[in-house]
Amino acid sequence: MTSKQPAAGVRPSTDDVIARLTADVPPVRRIWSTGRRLATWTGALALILSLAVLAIGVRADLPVRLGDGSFVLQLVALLAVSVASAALALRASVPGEEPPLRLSAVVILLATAGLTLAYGREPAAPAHDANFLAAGWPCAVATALIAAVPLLLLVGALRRAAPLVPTVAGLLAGGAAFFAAAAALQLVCPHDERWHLLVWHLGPVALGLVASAALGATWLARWRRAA
Amino acid sequence: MPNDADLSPPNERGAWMARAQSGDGDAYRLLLERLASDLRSFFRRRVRDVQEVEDLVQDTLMTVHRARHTYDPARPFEPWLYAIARNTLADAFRRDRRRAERHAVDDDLLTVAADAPSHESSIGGILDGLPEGQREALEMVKIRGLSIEQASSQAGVSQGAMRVRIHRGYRALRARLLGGDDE
Repeated sequence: MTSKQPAAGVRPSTDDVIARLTADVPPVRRIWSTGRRLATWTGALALILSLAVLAIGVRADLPVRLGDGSFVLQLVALLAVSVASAALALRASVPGEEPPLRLSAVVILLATAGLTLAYGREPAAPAHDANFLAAGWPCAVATALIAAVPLLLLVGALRRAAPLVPTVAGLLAGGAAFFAAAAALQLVCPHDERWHLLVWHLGPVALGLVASAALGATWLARWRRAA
Repeated sequence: MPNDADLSPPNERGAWMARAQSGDGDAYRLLLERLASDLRSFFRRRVRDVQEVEDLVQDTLMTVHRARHTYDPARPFEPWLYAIARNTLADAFRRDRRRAERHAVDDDLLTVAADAPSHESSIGGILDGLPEGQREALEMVKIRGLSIEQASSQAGVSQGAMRVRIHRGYRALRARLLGGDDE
């Protein structure tokens, strides 16, 4: 179980390691509490989503849609999952506070499955809809752009801490950013057609989750190697 | 310098870490010395090999060092410490499993080479192309069946150096037999 083989085959003693680690001990700035970091990120997220929705422009039928209970429930659920994922991600970055892996997996899987079911219940357009691609790709791009800044802010906060399981921390950060972006998209995109939602709204979320987990496994894992 | 009298339980180690976070090197040294002892006990209950235990203690201490800014002195210290220790142990088990799988493949390579008909691709021919130290290490441990301890004693090198030679020998062997990247 030797993890670090020295080039000369001689491993320093534990006393040597302690002497090296304590040779120079500058004061360190403690990270904020999880609650404070979550509140700060949520505030930033609210600002970013508001600016994005205003910049793109709300859908014309938004007042009508806001009268639909299931539409509002979807929005609230997406935002709730986003904030819950962020809370779990931030907890995952502090040793001893990590949420159980199963809980993290369940939150992400349930949210994705719930969104799939919700979008799948929308009416389907005719199969030969020529507008599918033209109307769809801007939604995918918008999802990625809206999610990018909250994701980077959250991953930056995680990197500043000590995520012991960086892949899971990255996945949860992706959930926080991309589910929030999906909520914002519901406010601006006028297409409520099943396949448009599944491909162009849910698809980028799924890809974003995978990319975020990969980001966690690579970049977030580097904190251990940092001096 | 802090002493046991002015840092009372139950969160004595947490108080030392709080001082270390403020730049108190003496408190930090005392803390790490105590932690080394605590961790040694923790890992000995889970790992038999004394050297592996010491490796795990050192890895955990280094992770504690890098993560020390995440400890909140208002919270108990032990959950924070042992989360790091358990994670270090889990990482080590994963690394060991990967290494064991890799060495199983390497042993298969040696078997294939040994069964080869021509001298060019025979075990001796292939090992002859390796640097002297790596060839000797593989011959002693994998062909003659000596332990790492016996082989290192015969070669007059440390056990760590012997492990490194075997590892590098495998890499070179894999590159020869399979081609491509030797990593």
